[in-house]
Amino acid sequence: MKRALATALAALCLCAACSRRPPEAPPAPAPPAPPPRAFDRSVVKIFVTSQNTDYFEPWKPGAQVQSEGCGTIVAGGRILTTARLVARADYIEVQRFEETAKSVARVEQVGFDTDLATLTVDDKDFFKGAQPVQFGDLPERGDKLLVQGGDKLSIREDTVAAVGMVYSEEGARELPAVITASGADHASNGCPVFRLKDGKCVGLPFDASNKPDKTGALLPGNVIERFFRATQNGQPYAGLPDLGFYTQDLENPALRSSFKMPPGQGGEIVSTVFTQGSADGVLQVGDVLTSVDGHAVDNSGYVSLDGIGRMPEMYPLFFHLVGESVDLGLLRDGKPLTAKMPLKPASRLLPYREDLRRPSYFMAGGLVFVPLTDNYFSTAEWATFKPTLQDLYFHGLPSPQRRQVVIISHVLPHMINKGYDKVKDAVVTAVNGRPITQLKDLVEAFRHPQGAFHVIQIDDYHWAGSSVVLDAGSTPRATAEILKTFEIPSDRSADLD
Amino acid sequence: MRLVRSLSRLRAAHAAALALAALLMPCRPAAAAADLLQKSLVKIYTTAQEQNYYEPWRVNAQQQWSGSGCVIAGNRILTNAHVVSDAIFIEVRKEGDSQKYVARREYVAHDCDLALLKVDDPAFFRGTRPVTFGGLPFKRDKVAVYGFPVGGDELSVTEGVVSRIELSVYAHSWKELLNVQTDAAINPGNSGGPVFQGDKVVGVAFQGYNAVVAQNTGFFVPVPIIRRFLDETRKGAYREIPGFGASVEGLENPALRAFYGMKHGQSGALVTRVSYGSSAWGLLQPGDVLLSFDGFAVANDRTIGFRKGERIGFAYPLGLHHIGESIKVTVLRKRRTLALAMPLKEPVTLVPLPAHDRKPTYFIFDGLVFTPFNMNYPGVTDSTPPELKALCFHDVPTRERRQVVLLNHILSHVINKGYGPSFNDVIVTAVNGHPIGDMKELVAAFKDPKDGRHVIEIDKAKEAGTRIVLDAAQSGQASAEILREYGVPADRSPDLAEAAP
Repeated sequence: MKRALATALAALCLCAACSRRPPEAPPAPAPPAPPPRAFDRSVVKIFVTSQNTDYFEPWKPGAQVQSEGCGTIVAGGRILTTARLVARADYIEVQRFEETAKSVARVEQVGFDTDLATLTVDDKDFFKGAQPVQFGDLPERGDKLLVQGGDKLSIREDTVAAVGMVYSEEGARELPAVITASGADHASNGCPVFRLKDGKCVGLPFDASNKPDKTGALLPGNVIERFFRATQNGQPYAGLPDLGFYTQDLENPALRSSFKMPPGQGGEIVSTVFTQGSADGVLQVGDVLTSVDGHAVDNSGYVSLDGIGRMPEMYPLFFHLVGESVDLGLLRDGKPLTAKMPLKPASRLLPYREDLRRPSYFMAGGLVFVPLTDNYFSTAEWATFKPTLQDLYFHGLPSPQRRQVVIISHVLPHMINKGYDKVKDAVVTAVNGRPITQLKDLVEAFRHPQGAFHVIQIDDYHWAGSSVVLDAGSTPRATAEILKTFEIPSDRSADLD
Repeated sequence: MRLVRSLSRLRAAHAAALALAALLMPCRPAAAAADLLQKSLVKIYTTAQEQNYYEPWRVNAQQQWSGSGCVIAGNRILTNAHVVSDAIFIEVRKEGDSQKYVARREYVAHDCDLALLKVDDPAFFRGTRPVTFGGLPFKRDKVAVYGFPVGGDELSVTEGVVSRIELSVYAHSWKELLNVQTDAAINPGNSGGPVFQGDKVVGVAFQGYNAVVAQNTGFFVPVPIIRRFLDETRKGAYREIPGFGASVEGLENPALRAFYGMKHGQSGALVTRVSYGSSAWGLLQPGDVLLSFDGFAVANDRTIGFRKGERIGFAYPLGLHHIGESIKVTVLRKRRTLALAMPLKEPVTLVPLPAHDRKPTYFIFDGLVFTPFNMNYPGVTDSTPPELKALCFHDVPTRERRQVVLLNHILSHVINKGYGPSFNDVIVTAVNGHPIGDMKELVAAFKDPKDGRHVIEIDKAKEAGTRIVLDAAQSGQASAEILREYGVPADRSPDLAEAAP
């Protein structure tokens, strides 16, 4: 019912938008207006029609959603906004502040990790008279801010409370942030925040979860500038680099002496190195990390940065691009050494949240196989997921044996899969004797049945069990029948063809 | 599922809600036939102190609650284990009497949630009429539940029919046993009270769903389980219902059956894992197809034929047997049928099911509090870290790991400085190079420091290299100081005492 209404509304809205576009009517003489402030000429309204993705039944087009937000005109005739607002868009229109005409815009770059995106507008007149914003340096505690937001781009004042790192809901990780004294009502809608004293943009609000109550969080200007650097000349955005290791604090004297730490030397123990991450092949478990990018690491894993203060050791990374290198200072067996670590994108067992228009899936004999992703956990209430899956969400690390977790999300009932109705969210370990490290392996494994059977091993003992066996000879026909019955266009997503 | 016992702190709220309903209810005369049955009814008043599993050397604040019971032959009172669990002081009052008598626990069977009480004053039993037991009723049979639930102090009788008979979870022990569901109202305080069919007792009322989940679903412990309990008590000590110890999954799919070598028309269930030390250990193997269990043919959906037209989970016969007895099991292994005699042992689980009346196991070393992870652990609930919760449901004991040893929390002291709350609830994998498979191994491993240090390896969120290092030279003194400062009576629970350093 809800979905039907949303679609109906969407249709209405679209029609309204079309008919409202005023073509060549001669403009009425404008009444004299007060000269607009700097940000009036750099802020735009964005109207988005997007489609949700159904990660449970990935072949289904999701419900249509209409949303509004703002963007900021930046150098080079582009508009900066949030990934959340525009990444899933089918159709985008932009409107200059206090203008009536809307122009069609297209997504140019998307960075889900920092929740940033840029738009381009084909109509070059759109930018006439616009003033690209300038990004300021990191604001200081007590700086007054101007925040724009809400339906009418209302303006209110705010104050910088702190600079730190908070957890971004959209980016699903800790990000550098400017903490503001009052909370944003429309975090993540792309409306820029300006510093009062110099009119420079100091950040975009984002949805953060572990900040103090009633405060707001802004993605600082220097992280935004990094996004521009990462996408300059049109190169596709490669994401934030990842350290690719975990560390443990080195405060206890007995622990310090066991790692041969000289008195007064700060550092952290490298406790885990991720497979295929930046540190793979550079660091060893048991190394002591003494500096990152020239900044000394203390015994609690913090670095001191000029003008910023004490920040977690990964902080300097947020200003580097994938492909660049950082210098690491180490103690290995008590001997100091330095290492150059080339930065790679995050290596995760469960890919970070990315709003894909067409998620990957494979279906055989009614068994729906999907990779376990951050997004998959949005398909149901958190508490309904098995603790084994929740554990993978929090602690899953890639290994040479397993680069992705492939699950049977559910079973589309048919004679061939009779008795497997309890198989749901079951982790697949092997198919026809071949280990499954990613969805691609599965497609290959189904080409090689074990005798007359497809033998799918699952690690789901307490719930559905340990094995699912299909009659290999009748699987293709059953799959075809299931596709027809359930109106599924294809047995696999386009990326697996 | 919640236990039905009338916690005193619940009572006031219930009284208010019921007062409204009472206005709408027509008065009904008491049935005369019930008078004789009432002479067996007992209200039980318990004062208890439960163990604190976070600080295992402490007991929790005193609690009081009430339940029901009935007099059986031999001047004993039959009730639920959870009515008298962790009890310090118990009083009983006969229906129609004003006096309370002091009672003592004689046998408590936590697994099947039954207990027998004794009353030393012979005057108590004067005028009582011991109940006699009936059999297992059928669906739609009429039953009456007698007891002392919330809503008042006097005897309450509710009636209904038997709704369902199957194996389901006993909330007190988390064990799956034969369980009878009724639509007769069973409310907090009914626990331990008799369920009559005519003038025979057919069960002991013991649990129900919260009304938000389901209505008119009360449960009672049926006679087969009660009889086994009484048989055990005649031996002078109660021994648990034996365990099987093999994970078994259904074989409903024809291709699955063919893959495991089953002939057309043959039925059975697949053995997937065998728990170390269980009845099935050394006898059954993963990949075996369980064809029959204690003489009953096992169907592809893991049920066995029960009474005419009824089916029940294959594990049902375990609830009638005693430890030490042997049952016949046939399996299909490599396409050959094997008949095996399986001696029945105590149940084993990697994570112990909730325990009661037992001092928790713990060991403190330099302020590090170690406990075996168990289901009494503070809130095995929504807030339990998923990696621990997964262990409860997903993992079985192996030869190498019989218990999961947790670093529960740290009593702060200069010797453990720097290892803060991030080490709460983490799994210990090795100490001083020795892998840790249970608490005894942990205690022993601390006797063997390496290079003047104790090294405790932690599986903290899969960060394999995480460790705690302590200075062995300072250990003895620090441990003594910590126990003194935190008021901990001993560095370990009594069950670990023989492993003294």
